Amino acid sequence: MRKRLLEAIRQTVFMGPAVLVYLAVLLIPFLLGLYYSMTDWNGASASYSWVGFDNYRSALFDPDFIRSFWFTIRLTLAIALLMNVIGFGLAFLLTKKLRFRNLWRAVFFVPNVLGGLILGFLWNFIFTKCFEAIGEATNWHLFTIPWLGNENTAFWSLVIVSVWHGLGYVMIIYIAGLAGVPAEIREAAQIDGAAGWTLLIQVTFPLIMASITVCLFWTISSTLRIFDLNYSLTSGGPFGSTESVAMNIYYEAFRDNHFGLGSAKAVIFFAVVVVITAAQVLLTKRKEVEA
Amino acid sequence: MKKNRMRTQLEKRMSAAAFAAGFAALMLTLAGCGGTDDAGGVSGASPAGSAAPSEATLNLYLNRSESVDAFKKLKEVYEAAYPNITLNIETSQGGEFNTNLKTKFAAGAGPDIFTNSGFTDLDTWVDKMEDLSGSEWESAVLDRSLDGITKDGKVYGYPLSMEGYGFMYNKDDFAKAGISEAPKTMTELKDAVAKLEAAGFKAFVPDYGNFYVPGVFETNNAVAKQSDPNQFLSDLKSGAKKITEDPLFSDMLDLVQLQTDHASKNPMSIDYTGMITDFAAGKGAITLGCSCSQPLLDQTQPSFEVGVFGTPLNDDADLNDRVFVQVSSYLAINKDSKVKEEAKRFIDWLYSSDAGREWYVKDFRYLPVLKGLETDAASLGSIGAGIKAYMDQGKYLAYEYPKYPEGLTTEWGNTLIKMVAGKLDKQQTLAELQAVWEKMSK
Repeated sequence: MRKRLLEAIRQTVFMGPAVLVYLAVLLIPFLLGLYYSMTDWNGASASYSWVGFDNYRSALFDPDFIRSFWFTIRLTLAIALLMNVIGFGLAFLLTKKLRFRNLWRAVFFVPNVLGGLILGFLWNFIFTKCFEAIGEATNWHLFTIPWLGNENTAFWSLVIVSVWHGLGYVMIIYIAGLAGVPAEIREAAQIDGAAGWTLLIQVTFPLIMASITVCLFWTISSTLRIFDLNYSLTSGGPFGSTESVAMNIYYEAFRDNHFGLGSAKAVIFFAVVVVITAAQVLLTKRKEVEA
Repeated sequence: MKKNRMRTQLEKRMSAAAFAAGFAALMLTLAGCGGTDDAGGVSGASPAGSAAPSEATLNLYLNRSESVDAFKKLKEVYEAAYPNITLNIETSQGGEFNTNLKTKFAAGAGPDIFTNSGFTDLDTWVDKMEDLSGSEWESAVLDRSLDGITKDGKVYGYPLSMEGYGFMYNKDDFAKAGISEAPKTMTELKDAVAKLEAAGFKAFVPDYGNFYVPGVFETNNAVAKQSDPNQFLSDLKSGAKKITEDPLFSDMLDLVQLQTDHASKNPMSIDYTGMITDFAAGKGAITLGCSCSQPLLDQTQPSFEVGVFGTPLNDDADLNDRVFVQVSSYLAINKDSKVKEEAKRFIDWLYSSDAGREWYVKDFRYLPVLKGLETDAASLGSIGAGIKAYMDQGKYLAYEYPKYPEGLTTEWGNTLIKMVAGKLDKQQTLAELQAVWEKMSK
């Protein structure tokens, strides 16, 4: 009994603060958000009324919200795919015996240290001013198009900056994964006659599946919730075509003064993110093997 | 193996239960703390307020970040006049302002004085605002300048800044192109564009990269030129009128198209800063300009000669030779502020004292809202002076966009940008403007 009590005290002392913080900054706001999502509060006035599920209904019938979902999903697919393919490629190269290997790793990792908001403003300048200057000097078509003024190129500019930004992180995880592949297994496979692609696909991939799970999870969940880069690079333009879900929610709640509707959208968004990421983790986890 | 795992799980669950019990105890103590904390917070929020009324801090939160230097000066001047008062002025702009203001109020740290844009914005914030009806300055401000901040006959704010917009033009380019008089009608504007292009100048620098200029300035051009804008907006709301059938909206689209067709570069890659800096660098001769753009213009190109003319969308010279003028910010007092009297005294000082008036003219440099306040062209700047000239002749219309439903300017702006991008033709644009109106005015 005494032992139990001690254990309880120990747990409280060690875990208490963390749980408190979790409650204060996550759980309580989340529950409040649930509550507000069923009111018509505008975010400022003293009075508001209960509207039940009306906000959820109008959110689901809001074409802009649906469009922002579709945009975010396309963006996530493009970014997650490119980031993982290129990140793995780089990790694969940079685990080979290359000259200046550590320097290269650092070069690709550095963008990750910068914040998304700053990167957005930087690249905004690059796309609008530097590209224009290069375009004027060389007349290359690639640099003369208004990158942020056209819905397709604005989409790809988000992809380019995101991939460049997150690449290093994914690369590091893959490097760690590749370094953890036991040499004897690879040798055994080679003795059995596996080489090149076969070795990579049949032996290496299954063994680094844990890294793939982590990287996919990270890229998918962070891109689904993209906001800062989106905000500073395109601010949703041109004509709202690059408005991510997070941004749509922010605008609804704070700019258009529909805090209730914005909260309802946030709850829907939360559910969707949970479902997508959980499905992804379940799917890739199942493929993980141990050496 | 399996049994082992079960045991660890059982243990985990048991310690979790014990943990939950301990945690509940912790929560209780903390809840106790929270209670006293709240009580302390109420009296502690402004210790100066009750204990020593002579010493006070006024927290101001203002949406005019372009005037940040002027506010620094204001703090100096006011604190010199009232040494027991500390002015704590914070500014931010546009959408961030409203977001931050909401979070400040939600956190229980609402500012004592904050700006409000009037009309729809007043409806949003009226619950937090002190009724200022009966203040002395009511009779000292220009007629109708309190319209936006009056609700049910009560006045909630002091008109701080007035601004105006119209086309601004590069006087040098106009002279070189041989345009002696600023255009008053669409036909004259088209002539001017032809002359400018013949002389080798690009005509327009339109900011269509962002919703703001098209959504606010361009659409206001069509709404404000209705014979009765308020009636027009309520007719739109009731369905008695439709944008698709409105000739002024159709004309307004022609003006947008004209600016697009004769732009200095792809208008979708020009943002607000780009618009002002490109214009100041002489990349185009005409752009939409607000008197609020003066600080940015001065930074880019000091002593740049700028003229102002109306935004003609058809050939009615009387209707089109006008600029748009509106009180852009009102000062409101937080009705729950502990230092309401000090806040009122501050506003009284601003309008009545010599030092306050001098700050207003020399530093703040907005168009004057006070009757008979003498300003000079040098401190107003060339845009302000150009707009003031129109005001003095009574040739002005109002900003109607603060009366739009929340969020409409963004949606309308995006629709116009689609037309600029060539995604919609004129008829489709009108139809979408109408559809967006119906969605947002619900």
